[in-house]
Amino acid sequence: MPEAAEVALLEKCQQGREDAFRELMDRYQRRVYWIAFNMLGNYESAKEVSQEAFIRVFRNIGRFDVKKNFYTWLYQITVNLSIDRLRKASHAKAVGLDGLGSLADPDRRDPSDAGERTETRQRVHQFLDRLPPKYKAVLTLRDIQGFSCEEIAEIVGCTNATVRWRLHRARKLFKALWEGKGVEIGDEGDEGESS
Amino acid sequence: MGCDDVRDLLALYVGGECYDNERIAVEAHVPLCSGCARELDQYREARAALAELADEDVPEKTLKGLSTAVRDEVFRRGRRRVLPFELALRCAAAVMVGLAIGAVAYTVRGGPPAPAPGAAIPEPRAVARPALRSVELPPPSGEPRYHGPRARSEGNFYLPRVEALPVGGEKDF
Repeated sequence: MPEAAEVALLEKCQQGREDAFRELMDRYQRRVYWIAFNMLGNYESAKEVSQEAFIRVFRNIGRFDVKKNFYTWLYQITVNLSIDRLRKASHAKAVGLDGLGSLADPDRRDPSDAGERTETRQRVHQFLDRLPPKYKAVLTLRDIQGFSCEEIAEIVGCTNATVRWRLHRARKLFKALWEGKGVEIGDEGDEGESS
Repeated sequence: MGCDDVRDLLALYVGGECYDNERIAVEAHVPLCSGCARELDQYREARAALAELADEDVPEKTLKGLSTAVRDEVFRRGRRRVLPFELALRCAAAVMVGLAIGAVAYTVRGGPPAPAPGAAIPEPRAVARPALRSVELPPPSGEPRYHGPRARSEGNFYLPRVEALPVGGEKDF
């Protein structure tokens, strides 16, 4: 259940008050940006996805039930937009569209950031980029953002058991990549999940 | 529980997602198995590397640009621009709805409005029609080509008069 203060803020947003929107954005924009960035590995794409997520939320805020958790809805939109962008980039790579294929390329990050990033972070992003989008989403939300399995299930729209299964697969794949082992990264089918 | 089963659980054990019975099995096996212990350390190392990304901070100008762009889109350009074609479609739809309502209202009322009681009902207007006139063919010039009964007009100059036709029905062309 959301806090009373947040419910009041959301109701003001539903009335179209710009100051309420500004406060809501200040609360969540950092988290939204980092979820998008960890999913996409690219500053510009993360900014575009974050922007689009907030625009969609504000345009549909009238239909939101203020008794539900707002952040679940916001992060769900962010993750879905990020997954869509990853799939488009993956498709573009497959058909040889080089411009679009560089979306998740760690070498195309903001050059002014090159001095700040450690080699570890670069490797992490590089290996994360190789994971299928669904596995990348649960790994990002759990091991980077620190959400619980129940929260992740709500955000990505699946069961707790599916989240566990995807986490299991994602960590196995990531560990193998981290150790420098050649791994076969197949599709992101959820066969093997327990109900 | 053997090594294979325990190693399969390590990916979830490292994040605390194991069920109680699974956690107990892992914690009983790992201290006794160097292979599984090494595998668990590798999972912890990979997870720790992921957690490093959580400490990154967002540059303030990035956040400021983000909120400005969203505010501009939602509030300054909140009203969707209506394209001319779309406007025309909307006008056409409004006209059609108006016509449909008018047609329904006309049908329900049963035709044109009835005259007020006591008022004289106007006579139907007489429509002037042109009088029928007989058409006479001009006399033929030179020898006549047709030797049969000549048609007399009175509105229909193509057919000969009945009494001029041969009795046996023969036609003399």
